[in-house]
Amino acid sequence: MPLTVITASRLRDGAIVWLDSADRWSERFADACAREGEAVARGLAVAAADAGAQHIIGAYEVEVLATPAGLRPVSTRERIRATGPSVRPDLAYDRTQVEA
Amino acid sequence: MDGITSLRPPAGGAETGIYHYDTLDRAFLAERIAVFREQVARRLSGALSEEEFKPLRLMNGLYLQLHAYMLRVAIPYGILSATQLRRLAHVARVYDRDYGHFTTRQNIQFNWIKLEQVPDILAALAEVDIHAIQTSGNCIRNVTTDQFAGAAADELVDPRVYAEILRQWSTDHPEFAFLPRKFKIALTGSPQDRAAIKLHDIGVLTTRNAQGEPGFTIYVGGGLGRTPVIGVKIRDWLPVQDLLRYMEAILRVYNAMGRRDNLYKARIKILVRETGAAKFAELVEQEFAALSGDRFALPPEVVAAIGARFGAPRFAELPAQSEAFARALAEDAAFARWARTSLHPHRVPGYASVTISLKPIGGIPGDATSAQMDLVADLADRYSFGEIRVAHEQNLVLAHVRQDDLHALWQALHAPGIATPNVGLVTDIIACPGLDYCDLANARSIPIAQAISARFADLARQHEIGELHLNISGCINACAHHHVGHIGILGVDKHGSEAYQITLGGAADEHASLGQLLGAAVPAEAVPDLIERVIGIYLAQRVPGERFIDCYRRLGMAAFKEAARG
Repeated sequence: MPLTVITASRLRDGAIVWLDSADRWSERFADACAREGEAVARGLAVAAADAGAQHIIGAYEVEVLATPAGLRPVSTRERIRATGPSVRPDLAYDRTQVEA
Repeated sequence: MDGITSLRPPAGGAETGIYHYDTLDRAFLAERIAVFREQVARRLSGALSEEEFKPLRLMNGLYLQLHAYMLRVAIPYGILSATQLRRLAHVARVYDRDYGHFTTRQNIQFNWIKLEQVPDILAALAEVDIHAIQTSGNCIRNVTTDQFAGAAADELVDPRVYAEILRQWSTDHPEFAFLPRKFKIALTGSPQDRAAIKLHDIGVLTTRNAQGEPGFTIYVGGGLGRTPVIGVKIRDWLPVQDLLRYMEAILRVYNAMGRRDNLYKARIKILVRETGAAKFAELVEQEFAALSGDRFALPPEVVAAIGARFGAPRFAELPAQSEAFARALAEDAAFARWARTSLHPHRVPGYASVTISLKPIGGIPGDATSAQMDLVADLADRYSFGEIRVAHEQNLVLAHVRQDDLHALWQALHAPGIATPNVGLVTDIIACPGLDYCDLANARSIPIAQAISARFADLARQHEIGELHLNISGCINACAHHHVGHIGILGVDKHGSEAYQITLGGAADEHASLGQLLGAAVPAEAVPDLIERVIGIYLAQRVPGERFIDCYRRLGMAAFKEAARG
């Protein structure tokens, strides 16, 4: 069963957000809560409710790997999305955990 | 004459080159912004769902991209006033992250936009007569032209007034707001096609007949993307008065017959191919004949009135050759190197058009900071009648510079690093935003461009290689027109990893051709070496004075295959 985190875009400003362990949306990938099985369904239900309340849009699951340094998205696309444009390190969100 | 301006005098203003709005134009924009402001408020309140809101935001140029909302602002036929460029710089500085990205459709994109601020941004743009209408959606998009329109020595007919007429005709056109797919029109008035007209849904060559009257040659069905096609000529000669009638006819046939059942087969190029060019032309002629000549006529007085709304530069009478320019060329080798590739012959003696490279070595193609935009605006005021062009190659152009002023202009550009003397050379790379920004991309484009740029940084080597167009797209949608690069690079997803296919032999000019695949896709780190091997074969095989594209056409793909083998 894949390990996933749940992400979305914040409606009012488009910022990328991650669902944390308290089911709140954080701008930091480091706060993303890894989920499996039933926890994924519960997280997606939270996302659906928050989309209905106009907080977020476009929620989906991102497959991640658990590494000694923390969670790491499996795909290049999601690593870039979690980190920021690879060609603008000055605009990086948080490079402590994810390198594209 | 629905949608076309009435015969009013110019609205005034010192700036030349752009079409000057009047109160009606401004009222239209203000109304559109008010409507969108309300739509945004309704979306934020939940009165509109995302499904309901998405087509509304797209009609106003607002996408949701990989990292944030992206706003695409239209630059009609790629021409801006200095005031407008300063306003774009203001938007970058205040509402974005201090930079913008100039695109291959002569527009600008802001990558970090907040939805709640978009109505204010649009209002700020409208204050200087620019907008984001129809920069997305299945409608007629920004009309593009040659970046040297109205300035080029080789131009037969200035296409700008016709581009503006098409802009007005297509803006909010009720019948063509929901076409099967997006629709792009390009015009050029020069036999040397710098607007890639054969690669657009409609390509218009503005030309003259034997009597010297202006008119058009019409191409249709060109396009890149998943199915690259070179457009076909369907009208050798179209009088000016029939321009809108004929456009209506083409769009009506497409709107009625274009496929809506399959996104990938919805562009007009597929319809033209499946119908057959001759049959398609026949259908257009039938529709054309059925349209009212009176209703769709474009009378000379309307063309003249719209033409008068463009401020005209007051050129000085100057000798054809500037002594100051000649002296500077002789005394300053760095300036001479820049002048060798950055200047284009002007129709007025003593002037030149200047291309400002937005391709610094190792930089991001097409990106400009707000400070750079402000600087170029100031230089346009000082040296080029307050007018700036955006080239589809993602560079900026000052179209009307006195040769006497070229050295001073170069010095002003040199200090802040926007005088890279690489226009038309291997490091003048066209690249889409790719996977670093784009939600559709499969692979990154910009790092590949940066790596190739760094590999070929030596300017003497670039000049030795000569004219070479290198285009990099991060997916098959081909925003960087990789199919028509002399060397094209396409990013693909190969088993979850970024990989790159190389094509050779493409061209976007009047001899348009589609590149052919060199071999299997290679990983990112292998691309610079592969490009180097391709160029090495060219350098070894070329005859004196032969460009890369001509050498490829003479030798064929077989001569370059060994490059792919490593």
